[in-house]
Amino acid sequence: MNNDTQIFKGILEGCILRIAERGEIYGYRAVEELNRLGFDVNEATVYPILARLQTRGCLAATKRPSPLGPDRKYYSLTPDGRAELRDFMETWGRIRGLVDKVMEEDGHDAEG
Amino acid sequence: MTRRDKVILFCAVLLAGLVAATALVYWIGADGNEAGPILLFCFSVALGAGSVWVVHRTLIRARRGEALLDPDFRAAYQTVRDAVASSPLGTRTRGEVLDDVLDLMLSSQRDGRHAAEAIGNPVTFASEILRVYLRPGRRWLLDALDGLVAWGLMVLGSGLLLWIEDAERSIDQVRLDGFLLVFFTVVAFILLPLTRRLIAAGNPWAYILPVAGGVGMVLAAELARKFLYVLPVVRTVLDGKVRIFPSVAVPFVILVIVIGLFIAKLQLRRRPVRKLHSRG
Repeated sequence: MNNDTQIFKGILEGCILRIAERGEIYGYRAVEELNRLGFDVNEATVYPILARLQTRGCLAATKRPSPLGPDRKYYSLTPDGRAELRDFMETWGRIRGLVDKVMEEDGHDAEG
Repeated sequence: MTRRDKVILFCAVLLAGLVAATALVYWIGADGNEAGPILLFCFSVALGAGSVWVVHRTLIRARRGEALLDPDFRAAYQTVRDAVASSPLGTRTRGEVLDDVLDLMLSSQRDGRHAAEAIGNPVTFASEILRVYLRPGRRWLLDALDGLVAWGLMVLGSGLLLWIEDAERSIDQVRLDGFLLVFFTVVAFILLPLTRRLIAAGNPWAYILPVAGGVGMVLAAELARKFLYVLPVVRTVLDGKVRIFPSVAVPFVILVIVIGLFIAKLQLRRRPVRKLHSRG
């Protein structure tokens, strides 16, 4: 799937919220985790999503010293983020069911 | 030094050189006994050297952490930094974004990745980040407010300077050249926004645009004087004088308006792009 589509970015948002639910993450760690799971994403794709989730109030950010340079931002899930994640999981489950149904069907009646 | 650093330094040195050359020409043409032109030349050389130093400190010298980037990542970071710096984002947000980007790049570099692999086109990356914080319509509005504030400050500042030259007259007697008013308008609403856009697009030659624009306008004025002076509108613009403060209250009104526009700009920057609806 084209990594730039809005659908893919929406899916990544949900996945990032789920990863943040498991524990605090920082930007590069989110990229690593998504790639470990099989996605093929880079920092340019993930960082704007993290920023968007933060401005929407789904993720809270705290800064802590980093061994590499400037203070590092760590993201954690907020109550609004949990609600957003719940919505995403419901929507994803529903869509996946519908798409699976369409894919499984052999044909349809072509009534004139 | 990256290519961008060299271009910026060249633009700063060129501008300083032009100012010093202008003062030198004035000195050469002046009466040899006057100390004023000599002092003006010395002052312009000192000012030029100081401005080049300031440019180096603020735009070229690597900030903390940035010096740890390899040339590949450093060039990409500078492009992102310039795009963010020339955007209407507030100072605090800019600092946060740049710290985040620097951390991302240092982490990628540590793992042996290349800048192109990590962030792709830095101009596109910066544009994506800015889109998170600024809707297109809001960016246009902030640019317009910037232009109005700049125009107001230039008119107010030049009017006050002209009044200080002869403070015995009333401030409502101050007259500004029509050409200068046109010049301020072009700078505030065309040159400055265009320079910011070119910087955001990763073009370091944008730093020469203000100088080129100013020189171009003066050249256009002189050519218009030579070839188009017969036209009334050209004579009016080149030689006409505008009474910019019709009354004594006008400078204060302009100042209040400029302050109001500046506050409006700060408020627009602070408001979040999107607010999540509160859930029950």
